[in-house]
Amino acid sequence: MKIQVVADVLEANDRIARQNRAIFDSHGLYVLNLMSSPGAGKTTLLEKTLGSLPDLRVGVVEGDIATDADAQRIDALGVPVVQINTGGGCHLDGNMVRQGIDALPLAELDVVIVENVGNLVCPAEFQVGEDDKVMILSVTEGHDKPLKYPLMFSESSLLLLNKIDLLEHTDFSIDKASADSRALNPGIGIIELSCRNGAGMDQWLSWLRGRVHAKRGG
Amino acid sequence: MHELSIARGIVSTVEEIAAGRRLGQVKHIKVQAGEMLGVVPESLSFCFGFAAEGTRAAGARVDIEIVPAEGLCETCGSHFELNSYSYTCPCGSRSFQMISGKELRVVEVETV
Repeated sequence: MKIQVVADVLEANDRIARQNRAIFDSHGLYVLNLMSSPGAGKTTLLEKTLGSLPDLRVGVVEGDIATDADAQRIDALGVPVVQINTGGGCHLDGNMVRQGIDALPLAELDVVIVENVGNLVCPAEFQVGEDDKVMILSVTEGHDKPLKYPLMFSESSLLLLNKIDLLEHTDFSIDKASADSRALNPGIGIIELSCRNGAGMDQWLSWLRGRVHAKRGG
Repeated sequence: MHELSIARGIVSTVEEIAAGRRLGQVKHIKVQAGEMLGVVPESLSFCFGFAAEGTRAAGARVDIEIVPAEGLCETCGSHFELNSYSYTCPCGSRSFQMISGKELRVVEVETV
């Protein structure tokens, strides 16, 4: 017997993500899903960001295949953090984040930043209950990435072009990367950033504060 | 390796369909996967074999149809295929809505 159906395979994950979102909303929390390739600067961005937001109480969910090295870096800043090891999995999903957030003092936080597993492909497919997806592309990775890995660029609210202090040593074209990203996602915000020398950090922090306040106001 | 997560998702989707309709053993499943997801069919079939062990879908064959990414041009109104290296309508416009290419769904289940 053949049965015709239209059943969304990611629906089970999306359902859990919606439940996570309801939990976050009940606490008035703004949640950001931070994604990039390995080594693009996610944890460094977090370290710099956490030190620059005295007015906001931030919690962090760290996703890595193995080790708690990143969580230790965040913990050293005195920020509530929970490490999720995916044990080989290439992304965080709704269920993993659900288990992680139980260990965070949600009632005492304004913002939760979920640092996804370093991977330019799969994290973009799995909702975790976030308000926004933000991605980092570092200039050393090359400007061809939006067209080669289109899904993440098309799903993200904001693209951070990191390591611009190294721009002169690369062939990276900011114009090409920006134009291709906007072709995939006309609404995407783009900020040029250097976590190392601080360029663009004010713009990023102001974007983040704006989103947090918009969520509270809404 | 997102194929393993996707394979698990397909198994639970098929289990839900089968439970809801009181179906028995499943022998064949058709899946549509959008081109944007970058699913490797061979890898997905391989992972599915493990993910389905001990379920009604154990041993089932999975056919994976890759759905091309298509845009609807906001300038000239035509449908066009999004090519990996140029997200541009043949009319030259880069303003479009993506109408397919991100889907991941089970479209047919065949029982023994």
